Amino acid sequence: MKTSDEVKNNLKLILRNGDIFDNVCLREGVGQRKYSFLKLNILLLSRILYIGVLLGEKIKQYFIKPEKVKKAQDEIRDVLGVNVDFIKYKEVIQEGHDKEKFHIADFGLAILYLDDYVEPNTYIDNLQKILMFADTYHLRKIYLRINDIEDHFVDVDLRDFKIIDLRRMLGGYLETSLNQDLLCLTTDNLRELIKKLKSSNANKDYIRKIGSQIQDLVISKALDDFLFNDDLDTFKEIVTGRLELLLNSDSYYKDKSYGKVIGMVSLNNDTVKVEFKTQKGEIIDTKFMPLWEYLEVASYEELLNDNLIGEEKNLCLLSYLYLFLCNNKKKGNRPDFVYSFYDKIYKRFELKRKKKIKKIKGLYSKKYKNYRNLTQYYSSFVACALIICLIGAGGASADFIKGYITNKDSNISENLFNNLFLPYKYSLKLEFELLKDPIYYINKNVVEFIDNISSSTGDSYDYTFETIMGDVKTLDENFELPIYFATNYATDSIYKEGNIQYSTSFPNTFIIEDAEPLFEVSRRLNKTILKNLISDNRLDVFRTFYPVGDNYALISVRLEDLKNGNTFVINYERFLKNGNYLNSQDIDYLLSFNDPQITYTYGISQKDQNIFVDSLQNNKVYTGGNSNIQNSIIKGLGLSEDASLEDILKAIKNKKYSRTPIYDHHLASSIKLMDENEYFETIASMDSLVCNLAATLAVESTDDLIYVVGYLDDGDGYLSSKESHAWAMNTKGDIVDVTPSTVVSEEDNIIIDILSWGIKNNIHVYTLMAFIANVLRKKFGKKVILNLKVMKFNDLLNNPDIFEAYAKINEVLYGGLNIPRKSSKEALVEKINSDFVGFSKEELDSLKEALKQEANNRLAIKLVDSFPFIRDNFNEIKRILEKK
Amino acid sequence: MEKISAETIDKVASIYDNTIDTLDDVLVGQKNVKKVIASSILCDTRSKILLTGITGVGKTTLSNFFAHNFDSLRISVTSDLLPTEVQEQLKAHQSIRLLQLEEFNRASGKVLATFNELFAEGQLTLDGLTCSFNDFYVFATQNNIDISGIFNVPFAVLDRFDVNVAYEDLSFEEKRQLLFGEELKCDRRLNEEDIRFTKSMVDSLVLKKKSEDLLLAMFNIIDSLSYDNKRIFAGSNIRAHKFAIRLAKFNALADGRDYIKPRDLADFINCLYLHRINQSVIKMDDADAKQIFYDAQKRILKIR
Repeated sequence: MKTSDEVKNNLKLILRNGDIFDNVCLREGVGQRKYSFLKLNILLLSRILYIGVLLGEKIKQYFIKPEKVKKAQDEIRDVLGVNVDFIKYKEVIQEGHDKEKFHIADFGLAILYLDDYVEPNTYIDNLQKILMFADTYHLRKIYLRINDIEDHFVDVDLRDFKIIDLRRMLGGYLETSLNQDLLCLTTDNLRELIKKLKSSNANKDYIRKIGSQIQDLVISKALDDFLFNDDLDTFKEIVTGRLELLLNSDSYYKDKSYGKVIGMVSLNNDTVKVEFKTQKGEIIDTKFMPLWEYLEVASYEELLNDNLIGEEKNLCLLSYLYLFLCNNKKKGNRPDFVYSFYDKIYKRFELKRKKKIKKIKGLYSKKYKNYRNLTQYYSSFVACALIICLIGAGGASADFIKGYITNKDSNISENLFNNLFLPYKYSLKLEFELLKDPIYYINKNVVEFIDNISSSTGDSYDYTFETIMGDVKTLDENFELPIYFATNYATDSIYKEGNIQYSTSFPNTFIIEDAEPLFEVSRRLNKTILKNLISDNRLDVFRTFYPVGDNYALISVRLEDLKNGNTFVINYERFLKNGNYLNSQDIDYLLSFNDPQITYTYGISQKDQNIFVDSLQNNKVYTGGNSNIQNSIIKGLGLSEDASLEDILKAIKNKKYSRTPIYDHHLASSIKLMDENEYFETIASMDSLVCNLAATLAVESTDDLIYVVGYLDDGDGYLSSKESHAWAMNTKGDIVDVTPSTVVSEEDNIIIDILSWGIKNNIHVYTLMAFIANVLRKKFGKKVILNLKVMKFNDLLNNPDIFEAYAKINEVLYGGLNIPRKSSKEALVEKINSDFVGFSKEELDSLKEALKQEANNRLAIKLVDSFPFIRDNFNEIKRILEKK
Repeated sequence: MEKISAETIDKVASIYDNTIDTLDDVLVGQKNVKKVIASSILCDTRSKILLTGITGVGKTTLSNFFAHNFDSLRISVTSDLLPTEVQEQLKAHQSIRLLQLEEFNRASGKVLATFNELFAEGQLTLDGLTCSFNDFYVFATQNNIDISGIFNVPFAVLDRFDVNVAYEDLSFEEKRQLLFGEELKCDRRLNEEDIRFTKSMVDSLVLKKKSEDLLLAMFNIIDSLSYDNKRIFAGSNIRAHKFAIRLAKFNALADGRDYIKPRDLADFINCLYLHRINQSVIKMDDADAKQIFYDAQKRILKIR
């Protein structure tokens, strides 16, 4: 039995893990799956995931229910019997200069108690309840409003407790009316506070206790009334009156100059006003003093001194009672207020839900939101970086280094750009376009799309997205449309950093001839372009498309507003009369066009030549003819020195066509360093060319060809940016187009090339690496730069003549004998720092000037130049030098 | 007077370097202390140096080192030391080159008076007899934290000290070297001839007017502390200034120059003037005084 079990298990193992052949293959890495689809999917999914996260957030937002929390809080309130708010710890942003951070309850819950106005005793009871609750459930922080305590109790010293405001505690924006000062208490603090409050609680018992000691019939009667009807005001009035009477009963004084005077005492809160009057009623003196000072006791508490007896004691007790009542504040008229802060927020939330208000005030501020996002950003970045670095960085960096080594022509930044940025850009574009119109792009046009994106790396201008420049429409069905439409021709060429720059011009003669209209080219304009066309009261219609071939000529120019069909035509008659000048009426009319389109109508001239060719003949501008360049081109093409023009053109034409020839040959950076001859030799020696390079070669290799730019219509009925073309022409109007016709590789395969290339090169990892590199540069860049600077400075210090140079500086500055003292580099740096620390820039400049004139010591001047650097980075320099 | 030659200046500089090297073998760290003491010893043959610091920073170590180099007398000052005892001891050592005074601030008034006479006039009056001494260095140490048996040393006596060297706090590395490193051993000795040579060089260095102006400007700054703001009597007096000039001259020579730079004095103003503040007139915090001197130092360095 046992053996059969073993067999079963072994069979299971083989079934699970594969047979020996499979295992060996896997182990040796032969025939492994390449996971290209997985990789491709990750490429796409990474972004889809992002959208997923966004959606997830929204969904989560939808499912959050404040009602639940509100209900929970209410239930706790019912148990507790006090209307408190429960606060969860919130991260608090550091605000302003105050670096202190307030943490609520150390990542736990806290209680916020804002009170309805209740009796002081109830308040204390409530606090005790809260204390018990906090103790039981380990809530470490309790927040009380200071105003509550101050309203309920007299003379409570709150200085021992920490005070913060609500706004800072919640870390968000709070409108001013909601913001308030809070006491931040631990349970121990609260216990202490309750004790304090109890002792100062101005309750009836206390008044009774004091009042009953006063042996005065009026007072004891009033006290009984007060205890019965709670009328504090009346009681206070009686006490005040009685006290004034007692104070004034024995108030005769003897004065040296006036004799017997009366001191009239009046009370105002705890202050006494004493007016001294003569018997005639003349006021001779007025004094203000605290009551207890008038009674000749040391302080308020001293009034309860047990040592006093008789009437004096009565007076003191009465005064004490009076002062006590004075300080015992009345119930004020307080504004109607929802005392619980969270109730208020919730109320607003409900109002918002009922669409009665638009915005809930008092929530998190934008600053707070940003702060939270920042932390999230960092944490996600770190997590992502860690995972991907661990998995892919090793292999990726190896790939990258390999790529860099094999691609020696390009410098590192270009290599990075090519390897990191471009593929990422393409993949993004691809996804974007796929998302925009999936069916269209998955259809046959994918090839075209890829064609587009690959052309954007070309050395001609970026025509990634096709812009339609003009619609070509035939008016005679039997007529065959011209293919070449020229726009400009070169008048001059300058070679600059791996690029031939042609200055171009367009013909400035304009003939409108009466002929049969054969075809027209129309172009949609926008209002700004139209405005630009109208300059100096003229319609600048020369910037047109010149059909090249037969004697094509412009018959008319028509401007129309596609919106309402308004038209404006310049025809032969009008042109004879006015040229292309416009009067103000015409201008106003044209500027009112909302959706303008310009249409050029062409026909075949019977008399003259093609206007474009005519212009070429008149101006006779040739950019070529430099024999050095001609030789270079011939050399580059690999022809013999006496090769004819035909041979040259043939050689150019026989090359292959590529939209990105320079990039393909890894010449993008090195070509910038070449001189003119080298450039042409290199270009001519390349296997593949693009139209403008081919045309350039043709034009430069002879002295009677002209470089022309325009469009080469592929018969699709419109001229587009994709069809922009460059070719050569002679003055007779013969087109010499040497653009190679064989395409480098099957364009259909480009999509696979690019995608596989992107996946192979782990473009996401590169992007991440670039990102990390950027972060590192930001973090350590300064340090590295400083190190490099110090290294450079160290070279200066290593100069054997440096000490002489320093002595020279001093000599120039102070005059006199100075023998250079050779010591260590560090000592020199220290010396320089101490000697020149106070020198301003102007002083150093003048020192340099003096050095130039008196000593002309170059090293010394160099050293003076380094003084500000030493002063600014003295400690670092010292440290780095010492390390070395 | 002859102009000092380049070779002479070079020699002064090398003597100074040697002295600093020697002191490096005696004491760990305390770069500034070494600089001040080496300069004070080499610029004059009767410098009076007061060493202030807490216990165990190496005050006595340093003064002992110098005592070994010269013919010296050591007196441990206690509060019950009598003037006659001092006089007796000194009388027996009339040819000393160095007087070592331990715990100087424990001396009672009468003893201080005796020292005052000795420092000021280089002589002692004993029973109507006057015995005079040759030039000698004074190395007095005092502990500025101890309070038992301390007398306030009068301003007049403190003023006799040319420099008061306050020990610095040890850096982390210095502490490590002191506690765990090898013990320092010094085999080298100071050469009396060298000292005489450097002193004579300092004497014979005639400053140009530019240097004199510079020194006067620096003294003005220090004087202004005393007289302008009335807050502090900065201890600037002619005696202090004279020694300051010697120090500055010597430092210029040691740096290979025959002219003065602000730095030559700026480094020393704490040692030169801080102890001369009249403590009985102004009750001033040490830190306050240091700050004021630090500001003065900055102003001095800006003189052109």
